[in-house]
Amino acid sequence: MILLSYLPIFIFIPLGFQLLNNFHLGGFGIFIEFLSSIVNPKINIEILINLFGRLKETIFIAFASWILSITFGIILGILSSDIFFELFKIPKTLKIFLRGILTILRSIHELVWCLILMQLFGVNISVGIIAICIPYISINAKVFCEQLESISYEQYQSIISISSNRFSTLITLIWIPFSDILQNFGIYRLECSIRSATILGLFGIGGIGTNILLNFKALNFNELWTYLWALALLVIITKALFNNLKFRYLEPNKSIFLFIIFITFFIYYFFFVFNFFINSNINLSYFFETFTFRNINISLNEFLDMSFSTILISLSATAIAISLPPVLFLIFDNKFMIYIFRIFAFWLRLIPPTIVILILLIFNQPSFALAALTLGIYNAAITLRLLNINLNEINKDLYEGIISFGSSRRVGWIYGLFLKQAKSYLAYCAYRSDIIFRETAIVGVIGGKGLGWQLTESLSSFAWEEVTFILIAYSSIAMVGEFINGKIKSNLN
Amino acid sequence: MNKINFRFLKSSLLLFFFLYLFSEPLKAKEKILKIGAIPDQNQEILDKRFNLLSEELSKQLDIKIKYVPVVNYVAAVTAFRTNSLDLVWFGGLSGVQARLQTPNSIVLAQRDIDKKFKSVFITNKKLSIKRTTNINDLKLLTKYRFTFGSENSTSGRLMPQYFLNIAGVELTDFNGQTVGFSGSHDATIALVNSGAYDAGVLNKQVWDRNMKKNPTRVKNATVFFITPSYVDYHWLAQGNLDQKFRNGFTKELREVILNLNPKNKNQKLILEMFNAKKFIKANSEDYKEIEFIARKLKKIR
Repeated sequence: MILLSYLPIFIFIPLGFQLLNNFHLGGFGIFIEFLSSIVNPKINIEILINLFGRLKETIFIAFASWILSITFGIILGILSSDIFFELFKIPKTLKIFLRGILTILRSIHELVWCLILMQLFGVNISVGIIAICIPYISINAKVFCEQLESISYEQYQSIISISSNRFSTLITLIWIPFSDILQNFGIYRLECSIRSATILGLFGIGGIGTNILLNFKALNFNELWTYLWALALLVIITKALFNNLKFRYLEPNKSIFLFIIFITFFIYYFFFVFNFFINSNINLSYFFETFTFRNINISLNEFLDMSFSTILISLSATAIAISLPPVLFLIFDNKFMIYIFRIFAFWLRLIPPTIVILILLIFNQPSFALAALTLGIYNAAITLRLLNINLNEINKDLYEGIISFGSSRRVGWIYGLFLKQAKSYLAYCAYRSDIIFRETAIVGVIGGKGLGWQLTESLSSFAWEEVTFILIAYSSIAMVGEFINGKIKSNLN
Repeated sequence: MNKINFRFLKSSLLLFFFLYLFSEPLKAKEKILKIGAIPDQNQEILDKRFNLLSEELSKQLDIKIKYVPVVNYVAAVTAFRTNSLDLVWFGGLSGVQARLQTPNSIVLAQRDIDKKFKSVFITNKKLSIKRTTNINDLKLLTKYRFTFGSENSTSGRLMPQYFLNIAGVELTDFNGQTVGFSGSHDATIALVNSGAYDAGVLNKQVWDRNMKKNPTRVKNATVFFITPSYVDYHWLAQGNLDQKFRNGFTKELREVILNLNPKNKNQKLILEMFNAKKFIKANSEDYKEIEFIARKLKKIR
């Protein structure tokens, strides 16, 4: 288990070699300017008004997609669970079919959904909401379904024996997992929604992301940091606000009150998106007319090469995300450094990977290593937080015992602390690598390599057949990744 | 108990307020002329330019006008095709792409300078490479890191790539076997000036404006080669504006744009921001050559 966590760090050798090869000091001045603007954001009335307007759009997209995807995720999670099919005696093929569709939906990143939907419906806030909802509903459904599977068979039998009504059985069975998931996973998904809404903004859907990109392109770093600080505040405030609500321990009347708020906003957001659908006039004939396979300008060789490099980017990034946090914790085992890492990780989680890669591109040529590194450290920031939480929850007796026998603190850390939670950490990393496979699209689109680069080129030439081709490749890679991870996870358990 | 209740009430009210505050109203359908533009320069320049123009058009045509900023060229073309924008200031290539995808659209006007538009190849001053007038010397740039502007820019990508091809240079010949895409003309200047890229190419008009107004921004960059001229930017309008607003509206709109006059103080400012002395008539036929080159370079399929 220790080997599994630590060995992947050696991916840095080939990556570092390629990065050093492509490194140049040309953009050093710009980078210093970027860093020095952290403490010097530009603030004036005009910017604040602009900022407020942009924040409104981002929050609207984030909350709407969060509430819609949680609700539909729960519904689809129940509908695709074994318990539901057992209770209502529905043929199993239907379940396989439903789960298959959900897998396809979540195999494509929300950014890619957004780029496609923007072509169909134009640039609109609702498009952003739908784009985030598609993979999120499916991810939420999967997580919720897995939670339901954890209900033991005995529990199920005992409840079914005292109740004759199938619906009330279902409600009784799912109530506890429901409130738990809302507490832990639900709030985490809200943070994800805010991040996704920002990333979609970078590609034109509106909100704070749009201004972040425009300011970055103009190299207005002071203004850029105004927006980044605002984003940081937004994440901190929302988390504080929602962490105050402990769903499981709420009294019934309070739960009902919250439930009413939730439903009100659900109806409101649902109506908003629905209204957009009704009023939009999609011109599908345009796509059918221009869709001819003669137009494909990519050779099979190029295509395989790009798919291969996409897989390599994902694998390298996964390796970094798994091993970087434990390596850092092992090397720098003092509280101060860990605190510094946590702050660094917070910003890395916050600044969209697209912007990170743009910053790195200032003094590096676009390369496979650069894309892998960006994606890797972004996800390492997420695994680092989890590892830190895990470590803090562990009983430290064994660690102190090992040290008292005269072993070094580092040996004590590995055997007394890290090993105790390694299983849950690796299981989370396996889940994370699902996401990394999907996220390769983001870094590729901006400036790395792989299929993402070709996707931008094909989109900007409006070559739909190429776009379709690339999407199928993306989706297949992500699905194979998810399948392999499923096997790894069940082995770990 | 009371204390807990109070805290609960407070936080849920706060939550409600928070969500309410940041809710978008369901907008009523108003008749607004939505203007857009390809984001070829720094946003603050575009904001100023198009907000000023919107005010003037709104005053003269007596309708509501909204300027909608767009993040990239593709989004501008898409927004036009899906009717999210009514009137867009396009480049040569993006305009042709938009027109092919939106068959009823109408070319309204171009600037006087758009008939003979040029690009300029620039290099960082630290390179040992001298200004040239021979197009074949573009080969010398392949030793260096090179950036275009946006992928779909006429003066920042399409025509420069065409001229590079004439000199026998392919995009994979450059240092690193690839080229960068800075995203906009101003970004190209910043990246070459700072040394992040050794060389780049951009719209000559943006270069000249920076030389004149922002000499510090270009102090480490210098001109390497100026391209032959070609046709560029133009106004493109939806074909349904007459139905949407009133009979003859498209004609009125074109007249107002063509009649912007430097003698009027406001209009002079607008023309200055467009770097033009006046707007002139334009036709879709003017852009046939751009379309031909774009098809050759696979930017139009």
